[in-house]
Amino acid sequence: MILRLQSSDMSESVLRIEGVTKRFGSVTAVDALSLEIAQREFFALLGPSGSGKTTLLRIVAGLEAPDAGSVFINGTDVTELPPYSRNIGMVFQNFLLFPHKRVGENIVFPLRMHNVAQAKQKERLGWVVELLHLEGLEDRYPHQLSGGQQQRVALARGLISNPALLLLDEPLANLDRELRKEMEVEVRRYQLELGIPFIYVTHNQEEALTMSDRIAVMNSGRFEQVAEKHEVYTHPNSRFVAGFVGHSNRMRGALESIADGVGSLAWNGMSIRVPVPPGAGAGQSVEYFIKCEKMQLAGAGTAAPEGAFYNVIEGVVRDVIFKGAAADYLVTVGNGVELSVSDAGTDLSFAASDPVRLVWSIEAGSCYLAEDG
Amino acid sequence: MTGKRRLKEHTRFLLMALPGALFIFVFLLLPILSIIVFSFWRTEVYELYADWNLDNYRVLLTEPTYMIFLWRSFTTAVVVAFTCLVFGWPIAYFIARYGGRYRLLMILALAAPFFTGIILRVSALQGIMGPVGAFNMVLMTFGMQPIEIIMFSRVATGIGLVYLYMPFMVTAIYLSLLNFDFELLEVAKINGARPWRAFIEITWPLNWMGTAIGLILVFVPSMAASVTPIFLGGPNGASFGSVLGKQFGETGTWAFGSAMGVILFAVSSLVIYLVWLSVDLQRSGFTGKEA
Repeated sequence: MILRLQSSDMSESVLRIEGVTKRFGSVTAVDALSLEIAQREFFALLGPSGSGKTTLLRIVAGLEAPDAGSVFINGTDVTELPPYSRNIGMVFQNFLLFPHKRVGENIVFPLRMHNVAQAKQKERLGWVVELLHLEGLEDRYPHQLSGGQQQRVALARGLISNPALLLLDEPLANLDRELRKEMEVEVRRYQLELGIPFIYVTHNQEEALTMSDRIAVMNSGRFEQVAEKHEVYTHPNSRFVAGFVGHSNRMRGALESIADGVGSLAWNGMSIRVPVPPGAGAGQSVEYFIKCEKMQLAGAGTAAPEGAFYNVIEGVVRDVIFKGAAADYLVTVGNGVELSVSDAGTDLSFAASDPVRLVWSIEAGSCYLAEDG
Repeated sequence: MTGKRRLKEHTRFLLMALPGALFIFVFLLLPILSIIVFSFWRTEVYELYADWNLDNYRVLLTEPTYMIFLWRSFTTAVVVAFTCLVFGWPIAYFIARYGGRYRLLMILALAAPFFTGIILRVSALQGIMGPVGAFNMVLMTFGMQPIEIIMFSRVATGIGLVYLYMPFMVTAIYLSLLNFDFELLEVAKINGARPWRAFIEITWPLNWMGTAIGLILVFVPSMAASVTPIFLGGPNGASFGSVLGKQFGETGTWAFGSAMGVILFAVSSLVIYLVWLSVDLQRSGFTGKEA
């Protein structure tokens, strides 16, 4: 697959990888990937475990040597350079602080390794401690800190030496939910403040969506889609992305007929109107994804929008899952299948066993040729 | 209820600890206590007499011969321990890092020499290093001079001790490395440390406790060695341990031998204490928490 990336000025890209491939035995972990990341960009590598995102990050870091391809940082080919000559920072999921060194010693470690003068070390330490709110913790040992504090120290260590870019490998995965939410905002703030690119590996789509500018969705060592996060969310370009990003209902079936670019999908005894994927013809098997929050609930019998660009189906509420800021309605439709509808309104207009009508614009969803098998 | 439960746990703990504690008391503490007592007694014609005196210690500390033996054993043990350290580290590191699923097998292979007795093993070394041993026979067959330094010398004793106690050193370091997170080395590299620097900054301090235990495990028996110096050391290689052994055998001067034992015990304890001083628990990465 050849990717057309957004045009970016060559001199502007901090990281450029070209045709990078890495195999482990018979498994191709990273498959001929190319990518450019610009200054000031927060870039997320999103994918399920085993999709190759961590391997790609490790290749950029120099911890793994690619079998083919090149890595450039600020225009210099660093493919053959060891990690300690690449001027990058990295933050790991399990923090990996040096347990025998105090917080302050952990943080200035990169400066010591680069033989930075003592006075300068102190100055930088003061700066980064203030940035990350670590005042007063300098003399503690890592095991005396909370998880969140440890991750801050890891970030401080990654940032102190002014790296060209910062790599983050699921840095928040080991933190509890509340703290993670807080840190997501914080990490984004540091990135904006420092103006260097962050490359953030995660399997958590919410994290990727919250923090990043652009997202690369990875699957089996390849990029499925590389785009602005809004684009990835609203216009997934593949079945995989549509299924992986956001919460969608999926409907799979044969295209019965096609008229004016609108197809009719036979699904559980119903006819669902769908946009026709390129290259699809009548009779072919397709899969349609519609995000839960894109469907609207209306009372049975209320006036529904007319027209060929809407789907309107009848159903019965089976259960309501109230989540505070939103509510999920599980609605039984057709011959007993269930659809999930997410409603930001918290007035709980419908209760279990209420007859309802589901309405959505066909363009709100996306449709792809189903893979055989 | 809690009180009863605690009592039960207490009892259970005692039941578990008791057999071991009893064994140690009977077979370790009692003998040590008895040699301390005997060292203040007197032997005459293979009989112990309980008249308390300090003569044994006076002789030991004033007669230069014994101090020379003690010094000789001490220096040999120090050199042996550090030789084992230098050779043991790479072996342990290799097994822990690259041994994969064969790690256990490799560690077991280290113990292979223990499958036979110490005398047999030391005699085998004699067969290799002695004047008519494998090395020198080959050299002489080709008209070359034999390597005298390995024939009945302190060097030969040293080689023998290194061979005997290397497995202890490797095992101690290996066990320490098993709990070492090698990912920390990647972190060090990312943060600018070259491999050698990363070793000094991270690997060494985090495994110093295991290494120190290895040093002690090699030092203590090397210091007390008696058989190895007798077989490999030659006539001038007598060690403190071998002279000590004689007191309980040929000469039958048990009280004097006990005093030598007490001195040996004291020196070893002192060395262990000094090594322990070098371990800073905070700096060892030991947190007291489950890993």
